[in-house]
Amino acid sequence: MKAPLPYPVLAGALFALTLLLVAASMLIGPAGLGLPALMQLMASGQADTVWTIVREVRLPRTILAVAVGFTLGLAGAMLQGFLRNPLADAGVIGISAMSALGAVLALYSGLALVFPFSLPLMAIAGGLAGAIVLQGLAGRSGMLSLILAGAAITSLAFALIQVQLNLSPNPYAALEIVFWIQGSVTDRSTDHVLLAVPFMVLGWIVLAASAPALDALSLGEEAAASLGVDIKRTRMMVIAGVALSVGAATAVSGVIGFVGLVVPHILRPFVGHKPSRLLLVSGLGGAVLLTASDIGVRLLTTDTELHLGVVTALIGAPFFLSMILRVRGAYQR
Amino acid sequence: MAIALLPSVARAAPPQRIVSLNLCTDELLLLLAPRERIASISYLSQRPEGAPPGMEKLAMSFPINYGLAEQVLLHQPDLVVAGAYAARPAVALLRKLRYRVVDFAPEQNFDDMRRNIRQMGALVGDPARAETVIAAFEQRLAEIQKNIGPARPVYANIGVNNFMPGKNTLPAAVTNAAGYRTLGEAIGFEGYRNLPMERLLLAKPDLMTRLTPFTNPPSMATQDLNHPALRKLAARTEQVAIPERFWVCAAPSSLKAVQMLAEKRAADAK
Repeated sequence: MKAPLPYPVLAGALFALTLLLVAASMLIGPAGLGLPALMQLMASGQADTVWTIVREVRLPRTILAVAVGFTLGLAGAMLQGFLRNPLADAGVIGISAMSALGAVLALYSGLALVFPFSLPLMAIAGGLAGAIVLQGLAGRSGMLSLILAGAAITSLAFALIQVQLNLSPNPYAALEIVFWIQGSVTDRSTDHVLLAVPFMVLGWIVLAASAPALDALSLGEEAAASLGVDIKRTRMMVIAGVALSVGAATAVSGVIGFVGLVVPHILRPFVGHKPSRLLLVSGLGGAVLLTASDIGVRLLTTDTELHLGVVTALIGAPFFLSMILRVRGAYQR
Repeated sequence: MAIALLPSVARAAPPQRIVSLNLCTDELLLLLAPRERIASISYLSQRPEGAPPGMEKLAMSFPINYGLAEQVLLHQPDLVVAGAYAARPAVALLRKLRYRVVDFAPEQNFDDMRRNIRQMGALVGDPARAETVIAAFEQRLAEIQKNIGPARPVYANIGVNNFMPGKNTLPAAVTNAAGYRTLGEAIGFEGYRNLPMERLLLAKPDLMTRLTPFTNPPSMATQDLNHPALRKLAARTEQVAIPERFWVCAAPSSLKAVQMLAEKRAADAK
């Protein structure tokens, strides 16, 4: 293993990179609406328009890219540490898809029209249900059964999403299947930020509180119990924290895969193998990856933007395959 | 055998059992054929968002079809009219079974509309009625256009997913008839585009519409017409509430949309 980078240097660098990307995200628009075009508009007395574009269009998508990226990176690091499974990630084990199902139920039934907070709340409930089913299916077995159970839950949740959207009397609903499966923050508004970010932050706090137990758990459940870790309580906190943050994130951005899988693996060698040290940097790494990807979709395409999940899957899927090759020998059972 | 004989029977006399598979052919058929000869129209014409303007009640009195071959066969039609791009599997099957199916090209302007009205008139055996309908249309259009000045203000017709009409589209033809340009024409693109929200905010239209008939149950796309940024644009722009249905088919009823736009111009001029 590489010598760990001084922790504050790594975290500081990732934080600085996040800020840099946030600034870039506020300045980069679709083709022809870059910084020079905005400056020209400012000069020609259209400051109002520029302000509306930056505040109402770019700011919400940027905040969501950062918060959703942080959530996915953090949740991935937490799940990998807690389950002691290098392939764990909210997307892989089905929590994201179940959250999307909850959000779809709230949104397309019209419930969210009457009670907007039902959107994140139903998504969080979906994530919780996914985690509980997963626990029942594959709680104590090996890596492969966890991944298989996750694949089954994901397929079922996506199937139910498609049933609901195809049956909706709203002709536009069926077109939005791709949003829920691939994810996007394009044209999300400040309303979505207010609905989702508070729950994400709450989830982060719960996850941070369960961090100390994570290091003890890396020695095995018995050893951790002998060190005074309450395994049951820790498990509940991890499930709650992941469901809260990933559920709220998915409710406004759809399922964005692979961030929680890739980012912890890239950063693990730099922090050493103490799982709790991975949490913050993975969150920041996720924010960096997702904000950069969201800038990417704006630069790559002009008219109809690519979905964020397409970009993260293009990066993440090959990585996932190479992961499986690397760990195949070690975990076969 | 009976099926195979149908086409020759149909050509001998005006068709007696006509089925329409398409929203726009529904409206022309209702306009030009006696109702007892219409066997079925498309389900869209009985939905509130699709009903032919001014003929909503009339449309409710016919059996409907969902563009499926079986539903058409049920009526043993001697003429089927269809849109050139819709219900293609059913149309292919019906032709294979030797039914008489006539395609109508979608209308992109009022010349296309005149052509389709004449085509429908000839098919149902009443070309004179088609000419009467067209003459009435021309007269009414000229009346509306009488007072329109030379200025060409910009009208932003914002559809779901920021779907905007540019040059050579039916909405542009309707808009131009009232002396406006569409925002898409002002930007300078052909056909339709989903304009990025940021581009849309840069525009300073003189008049705008953001309406969808699909609000409940909602979808994200239809809810986005209420995006805070669009609300801001709406707050500083004159509005006109032209239902989406008017942008889909060209028919004499399109004059209602032309008139609504023209009235906004008259109001501005004062």
